[in-house]
Amino acid sequence: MRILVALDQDPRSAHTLSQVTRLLVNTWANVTLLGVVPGKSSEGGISKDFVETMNQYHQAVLQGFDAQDLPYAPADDDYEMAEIQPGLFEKIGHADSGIKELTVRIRVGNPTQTILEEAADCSSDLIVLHSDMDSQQKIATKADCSVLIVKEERDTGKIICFLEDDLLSQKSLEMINQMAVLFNAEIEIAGLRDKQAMEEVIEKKLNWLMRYFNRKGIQLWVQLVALSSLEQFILEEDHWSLVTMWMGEKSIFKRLFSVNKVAKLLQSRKSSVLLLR
Amino acid sequence: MLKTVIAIDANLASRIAIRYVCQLGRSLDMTISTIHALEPGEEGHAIATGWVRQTWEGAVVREAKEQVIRLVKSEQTRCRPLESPLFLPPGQPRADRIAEQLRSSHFDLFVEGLLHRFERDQFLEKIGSRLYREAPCPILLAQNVPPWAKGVLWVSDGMLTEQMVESFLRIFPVQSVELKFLNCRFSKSPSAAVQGSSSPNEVGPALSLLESSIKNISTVEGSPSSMAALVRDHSLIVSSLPRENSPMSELLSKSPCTLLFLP
Repeated sequence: MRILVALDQDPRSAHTLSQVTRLLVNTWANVTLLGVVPGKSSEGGISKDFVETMNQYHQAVLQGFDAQDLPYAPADDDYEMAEIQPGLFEKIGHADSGIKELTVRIRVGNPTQTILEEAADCSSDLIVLHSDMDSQQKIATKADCSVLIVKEERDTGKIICFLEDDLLSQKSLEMINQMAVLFNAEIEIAGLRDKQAMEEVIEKKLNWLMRYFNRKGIQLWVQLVALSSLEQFILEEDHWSLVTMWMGEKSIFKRLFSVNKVAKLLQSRKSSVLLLR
Repeated sequence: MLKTVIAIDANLASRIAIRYVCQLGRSLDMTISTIHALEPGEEGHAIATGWVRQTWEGAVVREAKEQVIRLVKSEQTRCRPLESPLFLPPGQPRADRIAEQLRSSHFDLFVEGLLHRFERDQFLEKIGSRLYREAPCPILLAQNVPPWAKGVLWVSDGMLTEQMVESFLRIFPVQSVELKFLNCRFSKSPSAAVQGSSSPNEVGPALSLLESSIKNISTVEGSPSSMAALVRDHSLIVSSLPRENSPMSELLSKSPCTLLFLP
């Protein structure tokens, strides 16, 4: 798995990074820490202040691991932020490489465009960003991979996943599993129903998921929600640390709601949001 | 020994009911019977008349039987006390046949599964049904299978009766479970106000029969919606059977937990 973490100098970036670090400790995923700045400094490079912030983010990730378990290259004080392409800077150190990649980059330009470009360049499976980034809605809409929008810490011990008729990929299930560990949460599955035949398909999937998550020692709560009540359900039952939605091509959310509408609906909630693709 | 019977169909709700009872069976001394009320047209509308219809109905019944047998067999691998199903032949309404079975076999606990739904209709239909209203024993409505460690919550909006407490103690003898007690005062207030500790006198003298099992008594005031968070995360919620359109039925309809209704 490759994770792209979009960061800026907002204090919420540090919180987002602490969440991601817990995920990295569990997954040993390859990761890119991407700093986004709208323009170069007056000297034509990146401001020292921002480079230092990115360096601190890098150190914070490494400090999240026990030294003997560190899968990434260790910290190196002797580094430079080199412009490897116009508008793309990468932290180059001299330490030996680790068994997994941790890349620190800064891109100059429009945040939405630069984050999506980086996600495509590094073939990321997951983009993580905090909820105050101006670009979050556009990235959620346009990304080809899954997107996790981290809000302020809300520890309710429950995450919700909406289950529907469409195929749920193994990769998505593993992602949900990781999120349950990350948020130290039980999983609520809401099967979305519209007609009887569909309900039978959903029930079979729910049964399979109960076994899947029970084998992994994760408590699963199941329930059914009529599609026509979905919006009301999200508004009334807002008690989750994380809301997970499957946004595959055939998904109900994609068919019935624009991603924009989903993003807007969830923007007002306190839960973090994971859009699975 | 507690005589338990689960009414099953070939669906996920029944699997949940079986798994919940089997989990319970690890801490209680109980027998676990299963029954299925056969319906001639349970898979659709009858076709044709005469021998064609009879043949079709016979095939539907055989198919239903096979599905139920398969379901029970698959659960028996993890639950040895689970008995093979008894099939109640078609004829009388389902509720009447099950009620008759409960009476004639002197079961102590009737169990059904229900997939929890955000919409309340099916829940209200269940608790308003004649079977539930006239059941001769407590009813367990299994909606999920959380671990037993999540504890038991007793919710009430009135005085407890001795009959309720005795029914509960027949299932869970004194000190076999730790109980939290929630005394609900329904109002229109949109936020629930919880008093951490309340006096046992508020719920009546019958509570003294449970005293050594009770861990905590609290009182909460607010609308059913505002109390929903309090009934969301338990292994079991105990209550009397609420009236269909009452604040208590609204509160319980919001709970994804398994519910025990005491007569």
